[in-house]
Amino acid sequence: MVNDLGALLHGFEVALTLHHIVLMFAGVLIGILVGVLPGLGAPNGVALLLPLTFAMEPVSAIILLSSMYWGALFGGSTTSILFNIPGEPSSVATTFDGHPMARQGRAAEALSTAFLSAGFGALVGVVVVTLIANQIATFALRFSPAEYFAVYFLAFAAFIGMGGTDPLKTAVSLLIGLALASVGMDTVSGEMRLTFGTDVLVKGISFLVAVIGLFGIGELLATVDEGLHADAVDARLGLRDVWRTLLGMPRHWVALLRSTAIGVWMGITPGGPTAASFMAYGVARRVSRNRAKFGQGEPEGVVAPEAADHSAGVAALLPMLALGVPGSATAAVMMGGLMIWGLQPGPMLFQERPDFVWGLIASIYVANIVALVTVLSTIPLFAGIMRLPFALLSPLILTICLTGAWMVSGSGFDVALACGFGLLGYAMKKLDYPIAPLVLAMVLGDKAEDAFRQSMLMSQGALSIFWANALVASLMALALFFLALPLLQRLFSRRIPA
Amino acid sequence: MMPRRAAETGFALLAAGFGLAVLAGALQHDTGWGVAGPGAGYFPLRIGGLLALLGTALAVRQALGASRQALLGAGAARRVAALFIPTAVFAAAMPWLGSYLPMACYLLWMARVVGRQGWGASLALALLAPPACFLLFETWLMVPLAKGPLEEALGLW
Repeated sequence: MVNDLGALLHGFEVALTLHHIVLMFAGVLIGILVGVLPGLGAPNGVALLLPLTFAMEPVSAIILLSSMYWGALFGGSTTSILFNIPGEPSSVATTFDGHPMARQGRAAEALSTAFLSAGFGALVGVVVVTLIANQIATFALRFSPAEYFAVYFLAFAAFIGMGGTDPLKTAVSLLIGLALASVGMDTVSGEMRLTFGTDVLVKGISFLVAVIGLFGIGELLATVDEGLHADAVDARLGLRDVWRTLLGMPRHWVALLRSTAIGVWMGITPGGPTAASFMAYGVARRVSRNRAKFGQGEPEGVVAPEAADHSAGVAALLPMLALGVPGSATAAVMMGGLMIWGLQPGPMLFQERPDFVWGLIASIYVANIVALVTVLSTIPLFAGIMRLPFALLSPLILTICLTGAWMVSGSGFDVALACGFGLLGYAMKKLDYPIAPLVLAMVLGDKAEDAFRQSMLMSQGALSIFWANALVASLMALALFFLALPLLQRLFSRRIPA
Repeated sequence: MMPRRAAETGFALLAAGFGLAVLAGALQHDTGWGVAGPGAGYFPLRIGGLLALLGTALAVRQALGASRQALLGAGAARRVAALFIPTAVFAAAMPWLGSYLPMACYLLWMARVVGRQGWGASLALALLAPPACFLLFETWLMVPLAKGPLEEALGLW
């Protein structure tokens, strides 16, 4: 623990250089922009920016990308409150009470409540990361391929059992991702798999292209489908509003702590920020003293989803760094980035690249303060962008998406593929299939398969290796429990009619 | 226009079909025990099979139980098509004509024809965005975008 604090201090030395602080500002500003614009969200914002970081130092690149993520989380709630349009899926729950508050002329209060709760959530999230990431990584050094496979399996099972979406649809989404991940050259035997004799599929299907299509193009098509009803409220945010809200925050301490706990939990077990914010809002509506006022502009209805959203966003980086299992779609894209930069996410990272790990963790503290200050001071500016006609914004966003798909590897096939993934994402969104499991499976697919094949090689083909010791057995048991959870819930709710 | 039940069933069947395709692809490889442990087809075979199975189960459930209400109205379908089709054309043109010329045409079409904006705003968007992209990506960030005959003629390549 003391060593960790020393490492963290060293991390601050890495994070607090002028170069990195400039990158944080740039990342946060791009992030807020991406968060504000419908159709551009954190996962595909990171995916679009990733090709530009190939030549950068990994630690600089991750600081840029993670700062963008924090900016996007803040930006997403802004449009939820002011326009009733969630800029990010994870800020949908913020519209329920945030927008009514804004309509009652309390926009400044709603915005500052959202930002301060989010800041609190992020702070708790990063403290948790600081305290336990290294412990988990050290523990995971003992993992053999069997334990790794069990952890991946657990991540997939957690999505199915706790993602809050239809378990069967979640499983289909996961399996599509796993199948897509296996396209291209097999890492073990070198055979070409599922290419059906074509050359373009030899290098596999890039998860970046998939993310740009699924989250960018698909999201925009869904937005157009629903018809964009921007219900604008004036955005003015003075220092006095922020101060007054800050003084009032302790009143919400119960909701704040409860939602942050939910967020941290959902971030570490891959439920992700979206599920966390909905769950925190749902719990708050059920148990709050002010529950009667929920939906009509109750500040606690803003506190709960925002604190959960940000703590989950930050906590999602913990399993990514310590185990190589990202806790959210955005973390999955970042992890893909790590692998492109030549780093191996997982416990060895703490041993081999402490400067990278602790530089990133320290930058989370700094970048969230940068993000909070930036978002508080630039909101009127970014809200102005939403006043531009959507007819001009949407083709521009799509142009950025297609250009981004081209930049992944300079291939026309990727651009066409992004369009295809756009249609898939639109269909999945319309039919309530979760997209995050597909992305997670695409990033983890090869690693899960390798771990499985290595385990089978070690055990000479006996599946009993997944029950061979207490650790792997309990991981597998927990995963099976998550898989069975939807069935158990069904039985339970039938017996006791609510 | 399109009832939810048909769309749900159709999508689940498509997913099952994709599972079958993966399964067929896996069968071209060693799906059992090879020299280096489980063969290249081992994992895809099981993934594909499971996907085909779950997709079919989902299709049956949706065909029996999903709502018959409209999922997509005519207006919404038109709006989505008006956005998607030009985008797909832009994407298809990019490898042949480069990024910049199709980009200008696409933005002009989207703003003027689809978005019914005035000529001024539409032309400004279409004529300013490509050079802005050029300066941002090629000059500043040094990432090459797609080039076509126009860029070649102008000697920008």
